[in-house]
Amino acid sequence: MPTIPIYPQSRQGATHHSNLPHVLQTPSGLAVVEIQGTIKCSTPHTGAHDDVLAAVGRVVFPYYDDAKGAGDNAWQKRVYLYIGQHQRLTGEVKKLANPMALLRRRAASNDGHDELEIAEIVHYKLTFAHRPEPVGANGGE
Amino acid sequence: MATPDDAGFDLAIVAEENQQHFRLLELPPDLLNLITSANAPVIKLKSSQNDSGMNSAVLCTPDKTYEIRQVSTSNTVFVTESTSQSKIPDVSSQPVLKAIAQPQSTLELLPCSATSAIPYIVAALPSYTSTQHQSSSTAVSKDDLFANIPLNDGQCEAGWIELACFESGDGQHAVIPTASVKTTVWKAVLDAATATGIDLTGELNRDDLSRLLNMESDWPEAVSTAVLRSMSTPDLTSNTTTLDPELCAKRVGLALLKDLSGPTSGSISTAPFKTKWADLLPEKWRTHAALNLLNGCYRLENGGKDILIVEDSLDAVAAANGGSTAGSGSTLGAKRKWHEKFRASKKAA
Repeated sequence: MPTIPIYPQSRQGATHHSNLPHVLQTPSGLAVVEIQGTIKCSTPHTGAHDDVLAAVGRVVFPYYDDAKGAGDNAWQKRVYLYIGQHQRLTGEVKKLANPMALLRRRAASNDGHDELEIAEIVHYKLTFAHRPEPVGANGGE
Repeated sequence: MATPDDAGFDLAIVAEENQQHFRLLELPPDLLNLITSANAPVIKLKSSQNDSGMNSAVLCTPDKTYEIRQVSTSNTVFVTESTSQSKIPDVSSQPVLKAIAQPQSTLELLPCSATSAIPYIVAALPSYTSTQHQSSSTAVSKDDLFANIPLNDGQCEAGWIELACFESGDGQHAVIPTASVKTTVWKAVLDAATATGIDLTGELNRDDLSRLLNMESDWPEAVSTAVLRSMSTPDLTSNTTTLDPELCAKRVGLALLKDLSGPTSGSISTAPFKTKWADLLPEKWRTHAALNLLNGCYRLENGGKDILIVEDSLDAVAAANGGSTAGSGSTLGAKRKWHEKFRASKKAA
């Protein structure tokens, strides 16, 4: 098929609400996380059949304060990703120079032709570019 | 000090077999504005049918074309979805960031310079001659034709109009009228204008047009309409058509030159050609028949006594092929300049 249409983001549907910091929140709840490296995960995938998950860690925004509102950007400089109990990746919330569209195959493609849609447009990403640091089980150093 | 037990999000990865497929597409500012606007159009990923090179994919908005470059990353990129409740057993009921996809590459867009759709159309469509209505090529509709040209709809439409293409018969057979057909059709329109007293150099309303086009003729009205449209400046707001003197002289001159040169594209005498050309223009526009309008389409020989058509269709196709080779050459160059790629990612990091 020489031409594949890409449909614009649908504006219907309830806006997704999550507890993520505002800049990372998107209508569909989709966000982008980048890690310089690979996660080797030995945790068995668990969960219901259609939603099998492997827990790899926790993302913490140590300086984020919901009360401070949109004007405060200092917290974006530091985000932690704890992998298991003993390793921590330091990263930041980064504004993308060029926003990115997340394209996915359109569910309601009619006659078997490929159709794509813009699922979301993200302006920020969570990026972890530093090597992991060892931390104690309680997070102290 | 922050601890792992602070309020945060569990990060969980969906098993590979259940992951969704996402593509990341970088959005230049003008494209971002377009797709976030109130009436965002459908944009199109296009590739040309016969090109197998990686570089042949383009992204088209109604009036812009972007070359697509696929950039791989060694980093792990996740598309995550946040859910408010954890579905993982034995883990706290914290909100979860669920990594639902792991795209391997990002699509970057580079604006393309303006390219004409004409070579693609010439290569794809059969020509329409008055005697032989269908050539042996398989029928292509206008939509199919545009879908196979790796250019935006605006560029395709411009080429379609310039070549005076039309869909014959059941509207499924797109064709290009030959120079001889164009000249004949134009001459008939010109004669009809003289006979009915319609001034071709002025505004033509619908009534005028139907009187000009509904003449007893051997060809469908669509040909005449297409030929007239190729000479007029597009004006969608008004109901009238106005022929553009320069465009009219140019199209008529080129068609005549091609027609007179015949299938062998031999040279013909310049002076008689110019007289015939002027004769084929409305009286007021005779002076517009100047050779500089046809720049690039002809070559003078014999000290200017003879004029020789430069086979523009062949040249144009060659140029298009040359263009695509040059394009792949430049990608090769871009691949070798890996350090430049690196520099960008270094800055970004």
